[in-house]
Amino acid sequence: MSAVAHHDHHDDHHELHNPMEPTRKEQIRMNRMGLWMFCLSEAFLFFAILAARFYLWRDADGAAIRPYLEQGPALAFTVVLLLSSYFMNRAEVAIANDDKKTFSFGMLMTAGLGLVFLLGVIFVEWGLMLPEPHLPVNGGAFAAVFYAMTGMHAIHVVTGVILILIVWNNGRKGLYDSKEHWAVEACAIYWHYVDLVWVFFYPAIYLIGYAVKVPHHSAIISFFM
Amino acid sequence: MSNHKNNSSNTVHFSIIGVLIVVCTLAVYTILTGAVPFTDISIGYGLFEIPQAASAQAQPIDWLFDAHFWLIAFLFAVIVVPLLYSIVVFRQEEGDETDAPHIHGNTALEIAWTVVPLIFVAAFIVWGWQSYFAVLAPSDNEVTIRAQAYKWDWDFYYPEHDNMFSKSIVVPVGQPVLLEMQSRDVIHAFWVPAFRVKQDVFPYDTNALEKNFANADYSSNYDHYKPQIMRFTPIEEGVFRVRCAEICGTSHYAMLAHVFVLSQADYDLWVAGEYKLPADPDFLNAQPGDGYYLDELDDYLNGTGEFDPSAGGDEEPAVEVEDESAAVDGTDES
Amino acid sequence: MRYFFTSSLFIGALGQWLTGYFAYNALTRLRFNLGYDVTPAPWFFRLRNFFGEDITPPGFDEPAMVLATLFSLIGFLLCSGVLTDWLKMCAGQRPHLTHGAQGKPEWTRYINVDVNHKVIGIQYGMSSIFILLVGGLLAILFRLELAMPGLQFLDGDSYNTLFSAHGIIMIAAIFAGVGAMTNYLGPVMVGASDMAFPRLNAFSYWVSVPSALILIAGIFMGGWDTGWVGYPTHSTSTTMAGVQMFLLGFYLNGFSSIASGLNLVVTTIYMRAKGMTYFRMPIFVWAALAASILQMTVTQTVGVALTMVVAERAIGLDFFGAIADPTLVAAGVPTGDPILFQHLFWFYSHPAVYVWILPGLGIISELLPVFSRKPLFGYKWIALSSVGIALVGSIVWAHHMLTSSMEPMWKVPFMISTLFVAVPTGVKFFSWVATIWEGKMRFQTPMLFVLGAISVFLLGGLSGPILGTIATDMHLHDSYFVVGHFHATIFGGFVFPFFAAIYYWYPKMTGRMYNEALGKLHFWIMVPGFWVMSLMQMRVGMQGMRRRIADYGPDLGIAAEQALITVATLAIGWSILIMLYNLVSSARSAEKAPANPWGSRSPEFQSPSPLPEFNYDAPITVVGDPYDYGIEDATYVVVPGAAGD
Repeated sequence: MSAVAHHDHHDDHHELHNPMEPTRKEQIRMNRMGLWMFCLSEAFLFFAILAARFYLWRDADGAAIRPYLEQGPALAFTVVLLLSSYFMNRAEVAIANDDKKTFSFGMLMTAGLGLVFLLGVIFVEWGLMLPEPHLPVNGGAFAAVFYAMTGMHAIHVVTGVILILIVWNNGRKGLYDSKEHWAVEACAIYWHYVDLVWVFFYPAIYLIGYAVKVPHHSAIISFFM
Repeated sequence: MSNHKNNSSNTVHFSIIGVLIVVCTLAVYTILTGAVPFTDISIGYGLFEIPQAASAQAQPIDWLFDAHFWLIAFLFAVIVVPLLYSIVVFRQEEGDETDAPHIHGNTALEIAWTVVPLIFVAAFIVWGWQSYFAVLAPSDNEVTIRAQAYKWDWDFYYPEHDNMFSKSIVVPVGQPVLLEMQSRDVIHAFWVPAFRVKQDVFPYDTNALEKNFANADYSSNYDHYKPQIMRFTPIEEGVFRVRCAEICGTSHYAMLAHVFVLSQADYDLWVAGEYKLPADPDFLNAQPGDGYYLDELDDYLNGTGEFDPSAGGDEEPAVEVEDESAAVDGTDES
Repeated sequence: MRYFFTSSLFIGALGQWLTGYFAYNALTRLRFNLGYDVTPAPWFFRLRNFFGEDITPPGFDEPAMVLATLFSLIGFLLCSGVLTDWLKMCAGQRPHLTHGAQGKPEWTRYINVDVNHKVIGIQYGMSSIFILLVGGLLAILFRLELAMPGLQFLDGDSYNTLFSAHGIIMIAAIFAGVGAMTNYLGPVMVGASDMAFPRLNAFSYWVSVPSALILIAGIFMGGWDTGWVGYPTHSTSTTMAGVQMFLLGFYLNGFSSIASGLNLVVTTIYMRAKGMTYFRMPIFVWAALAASILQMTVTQTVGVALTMVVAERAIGLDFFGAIADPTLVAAGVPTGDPILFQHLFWFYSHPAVYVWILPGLGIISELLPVFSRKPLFGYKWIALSSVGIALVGSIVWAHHMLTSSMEPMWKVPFMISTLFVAVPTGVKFFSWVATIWEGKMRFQTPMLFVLGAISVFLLGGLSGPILGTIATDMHLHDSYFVVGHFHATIFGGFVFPFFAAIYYWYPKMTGRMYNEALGKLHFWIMVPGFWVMSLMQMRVGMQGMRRRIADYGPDLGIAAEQALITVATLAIGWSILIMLYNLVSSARSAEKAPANPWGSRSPEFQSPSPLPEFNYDAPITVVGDPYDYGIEDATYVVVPGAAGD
């Protein structure tokens, strides 16, 4: 069906033959399990950061606190990210029905919204390029955990966007159809997972505990400036 | 081989092993502690000898140590005796290429060696719990000493004597001590092997002091720290070494201080500034043993003998030491 | 030689060095041009070579060093070619797995990227032994220093660097050794032709090489004095420049662990041969599975902890309280807490110990029935005890912090869970004894090492509860007793079983038989050497010697024991050189080995030696239980076309 499948058999003649090679179906089943195992593994990563958040962000009485941050933009970007998951789902359903046009649109929308989220995190939440970041890097455990949570999540969003663009590009070349679209499915699982992480991170940063204002510093250190 | 015969030969094997396990347990316990159990005989060398106990807290701990030595001896015997017995008795005979009997398991046995260790575990949980809280227990007439650890030395303050500063801990024998410890830079740990107790000293700094501590007056800034607490009650007169037990950099190995345990009369003299302490005992030339120059020091402290400065320290008066430190650290006690 | 200079190993290492070098220079220049003072006060480091001479380049810059190190890893991966297939996939191609030596000599497969799990297993094994030698050399250096009281030829910093590097480099070696065993044996034992993800498997190996190189480079780029634990606030404030290399090398090694753990879990779930139910798998697979689940999950938390230290040093984020600001504190902003690191670190690093020993215990359980000619006693119990150890081992981490500033009431639950580890471990010991009981034992070298492993692991196990109860741990914590206990568990749980595995599967790997006499010589030097070393370490710890000290006074009366430990260490070192000679010389000229020299029932021994490219010529079928020794015609696996002997 696809060009690649033909390409596979070109320089095969001197290859050793594996009598127990998994079929494509078996391989995809293993891939899926591998991806879920990866998600499990990553859960420990995000869990550790969340644990740090709840351990460090406490007042003298042990009650949960959070830094005073602007709520509006964060809520907006959260909506953007959740919306992107919808388009990811549309794209996956579309390719399963051989609807390549909707697939392309969905993938691009997902990547675009992911990018918007990413820029929002970097420019608005981190305040990069602003005269003064919302949370200075040397703002105690508030800054440390805030940058750890948003940064670690942002790295996952970046890789997600790159993956989506690669898969979109390969889809444009006609590599995927209703029978063979594991890459799209993998992208979708990963993207939904990254969104799910944010569903836990967002309240942890912006909602749980009472807000404490971080004083402005005479000497602000910013690595990013 | 008939079943009956198998059983009887097993009975022989198990009887021999039972006897050997008892013998082995007693032997291993003797080797570990140097003391023959149920007698007063000492063989003079215990593999896991602990330094002589010099604090009241050492008693519950040493009791638990003893329980552990029994456990080690018994479990060692239970595993090693059948192992060696099998190796000697059942090994492959010359030219015998057949397989051994097909015994794939025994559920009752498996349950037994899951449940019986649980009983041991339960016992040690209880004993561990009891001894731990016995060590932590406060006493009525505690004296507080504040310790400050920094790379790579210790400072001590006596809040009940007008924050008197000392480079060594000096306490009267039998006096319960509450140590409140804080670190100025990295994690250190306070350990006196003869007292058995150890506590890490964290740099908890609740008021974010300047880290440039060389010029800071820490005795007055004490309240900004969340101290770590440790208790000990010395029961032997002598000198004991404080050892930092947490890696803290270049001179971690040399991060030492001293605990002088004096009689009450001598201690009162020391507080009044009329008592001489060896200021910097040269431990490299000292005698073995953790309270390493107990005898010499005893003679020295009681004025009945000569204290050899080259072997144990010089005879500078304590007051002078304090003055030096005061000049260096900017502390202002007199 | 031509093959070496074109190998993935050489080109990768070269690429890593060049990338790191140019990235460091470019980043420093960039940051300088952006107006940064590239030698600002908190990041002021002096690089020293091993002789203490100052070799700091002008403008040494730690954040640039961190980024350059990360770039250097990417440089290695790209240049070695392990990413090539994945990049092709991203470009829309579907590259085929390449098998075989591609027209080059067979040995070149071991220094090039290869997807075959056996090649990768042997690559891991060779790396492990090489890194083991490096770590051992460091140990011998500082053991010579410790042989006598007084500082002889090391100072505080160089001693600290040596023991810290010894710790983490040995850990890298152990992970490589675990990788060797699980990669080589896992797929073949479950009857598969390869791992579930062969390319990921190659990636796991090839990411561990540059990370080990980074660790070793750290010794020469300033060294570090934090021990392998790297506790803040010492690790966040030390001025020894190699500490970032240590943190990053440790961190990047985690990628290898996670990927290989994941791979083995999926392989075990989906690639078992027909008829091989979970309780018919060879027992080693159970152990490897339990270890892999741990590896795949908890490794992430140490990654977080190490990243935090890197970030605190490089950009000043306050996780662990090394930097505190009065204005912030006055405003009620929380500062970092050093104990957070200890929790995150030990949440990984305690289970990590089980990752190292579980495969080793699996090897013991695997080999005992073969050399006793008896079924494994209580197969299911042993299998489940591996899982039990992994589970209980995940909730005991704070017993490394029993003298820390944790609340006393929080220490007690960890004492309790720690003591419970004794139960599944006890099940293993008793089952081993019951397996040997009435067994017709043969004492070839692998069996000797298995028995040595049991004896040494017993030493480690029995010295465990005394450290687990808090009151006794108050005396023993951070003392040399811990060093003795730890080395006993790791030698008994990993080193001896690993050597047993090397001897046992040597004919399977090379097709030739090792020299039995030299193997026994190795054993009879190493086991007494280790017993002396470990017991003496425990003894000096009991008497009051702290761990991680460059020097000790004679006041403790431990000088004779120290000398004895050093002699024992040297004996162990020599015995390992004997093994190396044996392995190398036998691979060249020893007699050809039969397919099944030990009379094993395990599936890999029903296939020719060395194993064919895809392990079996056709799918195998499991029809019985794995350890039915003593029943005349009990069959475990049906291997089509097997060369029966």
